[in-house]
Amino acid sequence: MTDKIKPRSVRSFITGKYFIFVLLIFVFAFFAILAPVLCTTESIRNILVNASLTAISGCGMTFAITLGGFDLSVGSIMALSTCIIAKTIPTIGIPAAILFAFVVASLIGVVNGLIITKLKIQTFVATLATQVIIKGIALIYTGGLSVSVFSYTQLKAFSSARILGIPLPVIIMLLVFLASQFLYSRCRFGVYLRAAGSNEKAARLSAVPVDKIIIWAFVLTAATACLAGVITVSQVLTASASTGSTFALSAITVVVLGGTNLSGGSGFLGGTVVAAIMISIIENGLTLLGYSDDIQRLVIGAILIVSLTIKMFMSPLVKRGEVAA
Amino acid sequence: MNSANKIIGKIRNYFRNHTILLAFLIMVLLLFVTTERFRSMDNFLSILQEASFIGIAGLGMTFCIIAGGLDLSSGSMIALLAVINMMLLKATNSFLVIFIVIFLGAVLGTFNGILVSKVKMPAFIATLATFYIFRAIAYIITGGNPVTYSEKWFVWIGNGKVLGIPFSFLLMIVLAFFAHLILTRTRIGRTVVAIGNSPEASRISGLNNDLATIFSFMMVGITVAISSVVISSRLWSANPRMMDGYEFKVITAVVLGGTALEGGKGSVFNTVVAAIFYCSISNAMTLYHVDSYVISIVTGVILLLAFALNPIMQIVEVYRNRADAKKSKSGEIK
Repeated sequence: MTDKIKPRSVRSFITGKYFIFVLLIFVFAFFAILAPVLCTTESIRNILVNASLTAISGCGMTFAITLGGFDLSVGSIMALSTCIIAKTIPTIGIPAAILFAFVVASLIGVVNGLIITKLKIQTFVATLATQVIIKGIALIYTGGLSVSVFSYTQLKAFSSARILGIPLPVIIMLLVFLASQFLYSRCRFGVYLRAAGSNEKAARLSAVPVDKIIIWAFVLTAATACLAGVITVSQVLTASASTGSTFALSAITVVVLGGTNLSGGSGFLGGTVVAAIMISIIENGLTLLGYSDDIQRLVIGAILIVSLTIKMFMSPLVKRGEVAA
Repeated sequence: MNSANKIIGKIRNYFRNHTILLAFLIMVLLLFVTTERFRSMDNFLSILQEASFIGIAGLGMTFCIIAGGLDLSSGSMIALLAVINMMLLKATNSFLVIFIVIFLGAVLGTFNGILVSKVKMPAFIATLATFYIFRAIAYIITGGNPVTYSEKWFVWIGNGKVLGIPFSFLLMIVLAFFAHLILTRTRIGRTVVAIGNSPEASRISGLNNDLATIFSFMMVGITVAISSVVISSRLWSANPRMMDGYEFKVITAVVLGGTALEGGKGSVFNTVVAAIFYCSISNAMTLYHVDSYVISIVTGVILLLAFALNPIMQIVEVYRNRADAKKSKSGEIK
């Protein structure tokens, strides 16, 4: 560490925390030139709505990853919430159904947290197992069939209503982001979360209620997954237990692209949201250019590798081998 | 009396390192007593065959997880390799294709390994990226269509039996033997364990960390390639959609075997037992006529219990040690 690294130099700005913002601009410019249709208001609305699902769940996932863990069960939680909503709407109405789904999802989050803290199983394998269980519950609940709620058109409002021209899912996304950011940076919860994520032992010795924080973090991931489920069911007005089988990995992809460190201790919620928007731009842009899902997946994988490689090699500390990644 | 104690102690020690074997034996005993159908040889052989589909890839994954890594791309890799395997077989009709596929598997694994060791990406992210890429390539080269090939010699690999035992199971045992030798008796195998324990310490000791990391991912690639041949032979066909979620099954089997996700500890033998255990669960429940949706729930619960087994054993250990310490202390006072 002989020469100082200027914290506000352009290079550290680009390769540091805000790399994903630069990438977003590049990606948007690229597709805007190739497919100018992308720049219409309607198209941008579409992109943001598509991004909202992974962004909302990504905010919750950022908490889990800040703890140094994962939540692989979010896809199943999302599927179960869509099923619960679709199944209970005819009897208890829309608001109660959504509330009920939230209660169930939060309880699942508590169970996840208890399994991790009391049975001392790593988050990865614990949520891997609960994912199977939750999906099984959803399958039994629906009998393996998809449930449609086409007659409840008010439900559609969740995905199609607009306030000042902004679609409701996008507003929900922004609210979730602001709330999570508030929790993360302005509340004791956020401080404890980062402490528990960076060094669990030290946090415990400093009287941080680590177990409680872990349980709360998993409740938040489950609740955000449920919110994503609410938007999904309102978009398609059908629910099936098989939705969201790769949703957990998409959410993790977004969080990682956003710049949250997998080793825990620090999360970047803004990056998560921006990364979700960027992925959505790539998907929409490639569709507009006439490429299929396969190419989209290829590009997402390649972007993951390229962005992390650029970050790795351009970051001044890593380049000199002073920081092991 | 003393020697009996010694034997019991030895057995206890053995099972302490092979918790999964104990769990497996208990389950088999329970099933053996309670259901008649489980006792049939055919059923047991079919479990073994099923287990080999997960177990073979599990061997490589054991290396990877011991080295502190994780390979999420194996499900996509198996689809890609199986598709390539079938396409090449269709085109050339030659058994050499199998070796080409294994070589390709090694290349793909090495690519993962280079991303992790040289580019210094976390294994989770690197293989998440290739998870997207490999399956995308499989879709692109096939156009999304299944590829079939049903020449007799090829179909035998996944379906044939030697002396009544499924060939794929024997293959897994032979491979496990070699994997065990590599892990415990070679320099590179010990390096894999060393970097799992402490990458810093092994680097300072002059071991080649990067090479061992690449090697561990290459082992995943090779074993996944062998699995892809076996599975596509079993099914007579391959498609880019196949084996979705396979990586999680393999990782589950490895972790069930007691290989810690933090790395540094694990055994190939336990992975094989865990793969058989894992396949017996769903088999047993099918025999009990459990609803297929309930099966997934019960599987999840059993997995949780099995995952908790190792931590619980550790806690028991701590208490036992404490009790022992107390005993010896009170003995001294007397």
